[in-house]
Amino acid sequence: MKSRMYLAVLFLLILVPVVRANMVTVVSIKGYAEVRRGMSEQWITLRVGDVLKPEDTIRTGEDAEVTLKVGLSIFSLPAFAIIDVGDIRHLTRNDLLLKLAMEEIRGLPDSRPSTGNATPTVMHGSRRRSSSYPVTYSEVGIMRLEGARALFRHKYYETTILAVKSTLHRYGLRNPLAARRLVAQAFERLGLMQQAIDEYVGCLSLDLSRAEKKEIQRNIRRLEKQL
Amino acid sequence: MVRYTLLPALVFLCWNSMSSQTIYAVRGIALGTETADPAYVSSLYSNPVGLLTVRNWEFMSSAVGSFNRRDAIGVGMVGVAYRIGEDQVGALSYTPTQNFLLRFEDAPITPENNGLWPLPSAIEFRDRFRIGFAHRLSDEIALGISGRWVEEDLRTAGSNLQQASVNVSSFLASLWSFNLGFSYNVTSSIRAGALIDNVLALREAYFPDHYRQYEFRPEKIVRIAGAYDVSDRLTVTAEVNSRFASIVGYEWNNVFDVPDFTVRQGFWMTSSSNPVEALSFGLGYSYRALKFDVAYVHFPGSQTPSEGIAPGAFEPLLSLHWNRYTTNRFAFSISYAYHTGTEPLVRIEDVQFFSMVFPVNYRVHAMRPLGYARVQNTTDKTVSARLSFFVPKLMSSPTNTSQFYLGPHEVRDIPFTAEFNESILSVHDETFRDARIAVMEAEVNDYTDIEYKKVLILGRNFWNGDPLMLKYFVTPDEPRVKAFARKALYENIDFLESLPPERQPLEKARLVFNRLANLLSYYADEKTFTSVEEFDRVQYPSETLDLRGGDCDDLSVCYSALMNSLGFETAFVDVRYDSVDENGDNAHIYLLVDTKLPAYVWSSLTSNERKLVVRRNSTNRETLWIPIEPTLITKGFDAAWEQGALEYYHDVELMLGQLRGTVKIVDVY
Repeated sequence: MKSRMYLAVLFLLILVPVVRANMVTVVSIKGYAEVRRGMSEQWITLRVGDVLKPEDTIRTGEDAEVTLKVGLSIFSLPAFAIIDVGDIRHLTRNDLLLKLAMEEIRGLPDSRPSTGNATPTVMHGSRRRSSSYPVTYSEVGIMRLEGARALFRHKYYETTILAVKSTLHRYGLRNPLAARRLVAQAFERLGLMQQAIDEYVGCLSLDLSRAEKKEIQRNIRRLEKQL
Repeated sequence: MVRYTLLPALVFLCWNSMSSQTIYAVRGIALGTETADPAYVSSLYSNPVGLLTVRNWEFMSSAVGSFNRRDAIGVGMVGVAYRIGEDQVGALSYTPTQNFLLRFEDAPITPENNGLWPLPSAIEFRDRFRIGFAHRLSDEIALGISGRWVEEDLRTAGSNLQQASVNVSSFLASLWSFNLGFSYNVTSSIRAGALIDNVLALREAYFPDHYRQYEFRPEKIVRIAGAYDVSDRLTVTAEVNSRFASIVGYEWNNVFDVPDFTVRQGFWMTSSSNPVEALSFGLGYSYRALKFDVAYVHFPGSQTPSEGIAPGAFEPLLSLHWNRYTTNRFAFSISYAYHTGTEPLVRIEDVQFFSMVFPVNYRVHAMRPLGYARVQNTTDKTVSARLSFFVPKLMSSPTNTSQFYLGPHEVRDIPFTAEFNESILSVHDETFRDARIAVMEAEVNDYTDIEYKKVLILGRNFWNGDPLMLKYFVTPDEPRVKAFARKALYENIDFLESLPPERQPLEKARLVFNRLANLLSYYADEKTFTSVEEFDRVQYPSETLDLRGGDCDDLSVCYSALMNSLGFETAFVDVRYDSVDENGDNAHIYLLVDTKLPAYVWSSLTSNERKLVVRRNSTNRETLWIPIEPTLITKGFDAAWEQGALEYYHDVELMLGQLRGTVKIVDVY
């Protein structure tokens, strides 16, 4: 009888984490953070203990930080970042390459027109820490890039690549070099050297300083040796 | 010479017999020229190459008549043709009563004892017998030769004063003349022909010297012609000849969608002051092995004297069929193609259909084969043939394949298509219809073998679940659909005009959807089980508006049609699940609506960019598309948009549905 009880407890200890493996919960919040549920257009305050779904989006204010539990792992979102909860996942290499191929077939450009053509739906204003702080259109792009960096740090390289490309597509960062460099690094971490080289080569068409150009060329040569 | 005018016309007994000219190629007369496109036994009287259209045996009889009060209808010709070998056909014809009679006016009756030759009172030309032979040299080239025997009968009237009697003298002459014909198949739809009338004339017997000028002198005429199949139904022909005349004509088959009913017309033109020498018109009908043809030819400038011609005005006849004495006349013929029971040259061994027919997308079968027929060449020569497919009442005319070649004893599967017409949309429930599949040998131009097979036609609302087929249910041009969509906008025209341009597409979509929301409900329909398998039923947009509701595919089709009618492109998102829902469905449809706005203005429409999909439209531009879940019809546009966006994000972005094959996005242009 006792042995059966121990087995049941052991089973539950194993099962519960497995069951909760795909759930994302908010473990801690420093500063101010918000969540947008699904396709809603409203941001609401994020609280500790909130369970997040893949279709949710969270963002952090200045000097904020959010810690999430993703299955058995921990994920930290730094200050002034936006991330789609659904991006906190791994893809197979095949899925990533197919997705990229589909994007290529669609012919999505890497850069967007200047944000001067866009009509912002939020007011211009300085960053604030209080609720429902408005952010500008271009700041959204920067925040999303920051979120992509968080994905990179936590080794979600596949979704880093997709998130950065999506950000470049929608928001047209003033200086896309940092974003493209991040994509190249993610490719490199995945062992996709040729794709990394292609990304660095694409960077050469940007308006770069001499130092930046040299650095890019150095990376290209380094990767070519590894091929 | 002393002339006496005595009793008139006693000797002209034959005047009450056939005095009409020889016009036996009834089809050729109606068409104007058969030089490039001859057919049947009657091609003995035009281009003998046409004999090669005879499959086995063919019998023909024709009759002619005119509206001249002295003429009557009579048998013109009886003929028979027989296929001697694979590439040879021979024919014979006999014209018992078709004579060409010229009567001379006031021909004096000369006393017999005055030692003078009397002037002729009449000359009768009898084109009695014809014989012909045609030989195919290759798939493109054929030769034919025909010969005829013409008998000439010149009559004079002399008087015996002592016996007070009138004696008629008759002088006979005869000759053989030959025609040489040639044909060339330039392409499968263009044929060229050449004919030399009277290439050779051999006189057998002569009139006495005093009457030699009345002998028939057949004119050598060179004819060059072409025929072109404008379509399966229409052929046009044209000829020029050494008489400086040109002839054009056409033959129109399956007129008024009546199978095997033909109309023909011809125009003869010359360079004379009267440019239209003759007009002709004809009809043809075939029923199985029988063919009926009728023709009428009208000569606007006919000069036949009613009472005869003056001997001094006589000019030697160069043609018995076509001269200045030829009058308006009609002709008809009947022919019968008899087969001695030998195997058809090309035989249908089997017929299979690739699929059943869904009326909703009936047009695809005009391009995509509906099935195939396994055909066999039973001969040891290469043959060319065509397949024909026909379903009565659902097709206007048979759909023919292009010509194909079969090698000796070759067996091949020939795919066929079907051009259904709109009457197929009146089929409401599955039904089996008899389809006729026939193979037609090109040379014979007649069906050599026919198979009847049942084809399954499903009901107009049947759908096989393929999203590619669903778009055929979208009918944006239906008046009710157009009116509904336009009214939704017209009722809010002031509001729309007050909006900035980038907001208008979204608001139009909202207005139409919300108008629909006031009318419709969502409900799942039942599956339909046919004799073969299970199908879904989809309502056409007007039916959904009438029934005031539908399931996901009905509502998607309806809303798609409404937006299409306003010029917005849409796309169906078809999602397959691993398990079934409470309705027993393992699939779901919703749709995307193209705002036509460039991707970078997304923030004008929403602050949540995932509510919009960026994809290319038909103009290859990247635009913003709105996902809509139509089953939330009663909840309004915003709820439908939010749910549609959520489903799209889940199905396509998170689950990578397009990569995994569980999501198909089908554009509805």
